[in-house]
Amino acid sequence: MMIAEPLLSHGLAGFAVGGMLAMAGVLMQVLLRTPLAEPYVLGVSGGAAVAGLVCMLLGLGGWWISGSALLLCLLSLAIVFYVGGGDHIPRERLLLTGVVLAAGWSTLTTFLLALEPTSSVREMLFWLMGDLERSVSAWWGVLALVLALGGGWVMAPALDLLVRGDEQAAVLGVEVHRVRLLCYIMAAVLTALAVTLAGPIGFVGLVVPHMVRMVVGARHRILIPASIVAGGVYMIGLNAITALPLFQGTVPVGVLSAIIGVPVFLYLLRQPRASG
Amino acid sequence: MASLQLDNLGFGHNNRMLSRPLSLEARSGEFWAILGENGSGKSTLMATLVGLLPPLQGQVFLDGVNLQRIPRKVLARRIGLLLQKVDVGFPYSVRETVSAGRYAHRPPWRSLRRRDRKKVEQVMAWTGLDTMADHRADQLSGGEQRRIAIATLLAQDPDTLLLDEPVNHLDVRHEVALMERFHDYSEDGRLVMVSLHDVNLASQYADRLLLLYPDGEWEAGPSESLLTEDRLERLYGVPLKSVGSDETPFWVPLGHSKRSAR
Repeated sequence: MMIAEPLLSHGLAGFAVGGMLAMAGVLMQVLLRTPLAEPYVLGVSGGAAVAGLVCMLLGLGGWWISGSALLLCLLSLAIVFYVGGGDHIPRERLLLTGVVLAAGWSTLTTFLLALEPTSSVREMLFWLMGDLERSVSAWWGVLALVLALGGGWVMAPALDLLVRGDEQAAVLGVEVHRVRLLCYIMAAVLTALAVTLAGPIGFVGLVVPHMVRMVVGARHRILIPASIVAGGVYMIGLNAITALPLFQGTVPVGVLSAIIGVPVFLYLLRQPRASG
Repeated sequence: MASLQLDNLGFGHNNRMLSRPLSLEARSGEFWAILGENGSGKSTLMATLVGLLPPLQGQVFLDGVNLQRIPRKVLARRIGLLLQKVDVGFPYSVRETVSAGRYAHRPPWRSLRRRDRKKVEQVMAWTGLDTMADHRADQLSGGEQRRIAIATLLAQDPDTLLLDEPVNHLDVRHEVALMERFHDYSEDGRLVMVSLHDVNLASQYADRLLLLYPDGEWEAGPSESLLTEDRLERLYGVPLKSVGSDETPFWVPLGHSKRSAR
């Protein structure tokens, strides 16, 4: 019992975080019409991380972290949208916007770490690299996932149209602004919660939907539930690997995820997809 | 039955109107061609007529209802627009891509019903896509993507069809099949409006014309009365001459070398 219980909540947190990051990735990919969109790459997780660190510095916990993380996620995503998004704007600009934003948050993060007394810096660094150890109240993540799953089910046909661009989707009958706003809020909430639970783990939202699409295709009615489940399993798997005796718990999940995610990102970037 | 009324309609981008305000009515059963140089506003007008762009002045009415007041889903069952470019960067199959045309015909939580699926198969057969229904749409050629866009519009099945340069990138075979198909649509009592840069396609199929002149003036009316040498020269900035018979006129532009013969 003493061992099984933390393992269970650990597994639950891992599943929730993986599922939320994967779902956030799917939503951002619809919003920005590229499979390269992902919370970490676009600097959205970075915003949540800064919020988390500020709260830790001020000694605030729990909902303070989630709430401020959500605010900065919404802000980051809004910046990426309005600077980098749009129907006829090349995706390079979008990626660049996200990367610059991520760099900005990263600088701020380093600065915040420098302000902190040395004793807790190591702990914070681990959180920043993705660390499920800090997980609290994973059930909130599960609840968010269930809501996202339901919302995703209803919105799926509209999402299939939105990836063709706003004009096409509108002509075919989608109330574009309404659906986009819902996606945007869902993506921000999921990212904020995931980062609060486990730190800014990158590339899950990129790798998982890509793999799932290769298996089940692009239709969102299947892609969304499949990505949530696959994201959860993927995260539990990553976590299991970091727990191997070989690593002795020294490798955070986020590092492992990046080792897999960076090559996948570069591969996708090289795809001869018509730019959009 | 549908009627599209343009009431003193000013269209354009960023508050710059591309022509003098338009007033005309287009009805079911008519086949309209919109002619004008590149940049004369053909695409912008189409986007305005389907509510993608707000009018800069005046209004568009669909059966007497202001277009801006109609919910997108209701509008999508009435008016369809073929855009010049469709770009889907995700691995959808051809069938899945074409099925998007049925979006407005069902509540969002429903899957495709039998009659939706039947319609999709039917339009894929019409456009010659049935043999590649399970291929990935994003890996096809420009002409095939074009046909996917056309099939999507046909699956949408609106009673007013706006087509922005529909025959670009198409082989002659598909071009003819497409124009014939849309012509049949207008004969069946739908309203078809096509922007074209080929005068001869317009003269062959359209019974009404809207000419958007480079100086911002416009003219609309029956095609037989509007297709004259001086109008076309004003439209394109080069003289055109009709060769062929009166029943099937064929317009050719005259270069400098031939102008003396005029």
